[in-house]
Amino acid sequence: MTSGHVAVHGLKAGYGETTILDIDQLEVRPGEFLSVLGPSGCGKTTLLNVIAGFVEPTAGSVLIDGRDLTHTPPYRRNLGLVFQSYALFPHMTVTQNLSYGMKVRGASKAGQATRVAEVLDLVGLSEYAERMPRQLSGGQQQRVALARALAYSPTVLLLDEPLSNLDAKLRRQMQSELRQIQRRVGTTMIFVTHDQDEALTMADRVALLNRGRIEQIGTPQDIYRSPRTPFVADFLGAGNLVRATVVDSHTVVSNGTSLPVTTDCPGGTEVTVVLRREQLRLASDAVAGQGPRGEVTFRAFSGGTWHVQVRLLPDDTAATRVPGQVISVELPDTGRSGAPAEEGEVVRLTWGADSVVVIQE
Amino acid sequence: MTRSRMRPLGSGPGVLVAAWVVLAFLAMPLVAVTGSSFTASDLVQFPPRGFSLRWYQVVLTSRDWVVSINLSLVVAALVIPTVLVLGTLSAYGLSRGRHRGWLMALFMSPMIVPEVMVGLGLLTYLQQLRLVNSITGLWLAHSLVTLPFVIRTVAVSVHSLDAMLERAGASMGARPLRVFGTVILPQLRPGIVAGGIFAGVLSLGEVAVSMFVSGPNTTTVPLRVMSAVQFELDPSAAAVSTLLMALSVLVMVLLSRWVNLSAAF
Repeated sequence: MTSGHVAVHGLKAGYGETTILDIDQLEVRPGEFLSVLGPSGCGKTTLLNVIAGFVEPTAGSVLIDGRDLTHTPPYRRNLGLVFQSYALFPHMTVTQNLSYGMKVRGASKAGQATRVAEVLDLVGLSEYAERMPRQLSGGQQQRVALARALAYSPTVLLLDEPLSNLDAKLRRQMQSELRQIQRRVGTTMIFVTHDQDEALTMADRVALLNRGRIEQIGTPQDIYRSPRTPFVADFLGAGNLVRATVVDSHTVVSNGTSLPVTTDCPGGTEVTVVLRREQLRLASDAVAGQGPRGEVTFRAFSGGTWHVQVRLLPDDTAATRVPGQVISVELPDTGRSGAPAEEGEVVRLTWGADSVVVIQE
Repeated sequence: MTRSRMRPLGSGPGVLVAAWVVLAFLAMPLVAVTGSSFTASDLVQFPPRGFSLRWYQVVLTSRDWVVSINLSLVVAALVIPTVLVLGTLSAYGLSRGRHRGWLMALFMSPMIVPEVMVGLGLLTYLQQLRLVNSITGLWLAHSLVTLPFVIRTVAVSVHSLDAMLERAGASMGARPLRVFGTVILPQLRPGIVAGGIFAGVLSLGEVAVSMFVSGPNTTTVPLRVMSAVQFELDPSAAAVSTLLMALSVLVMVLLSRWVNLSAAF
């Protein structure tokens, strides 16, 4: 059995003066599911193409199972690729598509047939063996593409936004299906996506790319709970990033508003405080307590939750300042009995000071 | 929800009349030639006088006509595979190499340069090679004239190629040549078939360049038609033309069952 260890060292890619990829070090463990996440143009697809051999890096090396493949042509790398556009051969039946990789490798007719039946069963399309790709739905085509890439047992499977062309419901279904298949076959998978939910849901680890560099890499819990930079926090949907200055280990101040936090940073440090929408609660202004005051500027009901926006007010109300930052809050609906404060009301924003992330600039 | 029915643009009576006039204008020569080939008289006439197949009999029993028909078919049979191989490779190569614009213009030049000039040029250098008045000469000349048309039609298919298919093939371990044979070529089929039809039809009807490079032993059908109508307005020329047209139509109909031609033209 192939093991599928991928290592990337000092990798640079680009054309002319522009560098679109600059990765010091990236390792994917055998059998791991790694999501490569980032906004469009961050270099994630280029990274995939460098590993696949379609883009020649300007520096650095790609090793798979210890073998340096940096200058090996794509057809000698024994990798599997799944494309966003499926890229099934339109003139071949499902079976012919699935046999292609094995045929190239000179597998016996009988061996091909057995394996085709196996992978078709794996993706649940056994009845569709003799169909043409155009006779299948998008979801079915994507399953065939996955089966085709797995059929010849590649060392590593590279997936380039494979679920982006599917509708939301089918997409969630395919996410769990793909993950189950990956656990069963144990092939290392590198999955490129721009969708943070997808990346977090599916992966063992997530590598977040920004402008060609790895901004942070870690388990989904890690990267979500302890973002290292404001970019990571923002991209993973934190909601509110507040720039502030540290006063002491319990307080930072932003634009005249004190915010309770827990931090090790010395006083005077510039920091970004990550206030997640769902961590915030509203309290009555009358109740004295921890937390800044603010004015409700917007309130909307959306099924199970309320979306409320609160503009922060300075501690010293007499001081005239630029308008405070608007904070989005997501509150669970408590039923008929209660609704959050209305627009125009002044409230106190509260949160658990320990659970709020403070990122040093 | 009710949606108002939109009147399609250009369905007024004026447009219809204009369309019929253009159609009639395009069809008239074909109708005239076909019609006059069935005439019973000794002169090309349209509408035909009476109905007879005698001119077909004349054509198919005349040694001269049969030799010319065979020659034209042999030349077309040589030209078609030649330009299909060259044209397909050129169209594919020209879609990705460097200096595409320049090279494309060069490959297309026989289509733009006046045919008389191409004929004169060919005469000059085929003379040196002693290929004037030979099947080889006609084969080379017709290949040169028809190649740009094949490149054009195949280029349309190349243009709609999905580059991801090539990558998919390569990722599965297929070398470039294998990818070309098993993935690319099947995708280019409509363009190749259309190019083949073009090349065949053009070769069978080629006059200008053939005039320069052919001789007494290599008179193709269109050249014999030309000389036939120059001296005597003999309906056998119309009968031969009708036969050639029928052949083209037959080939088109047969091929259209096998490949979607409207996607290629």
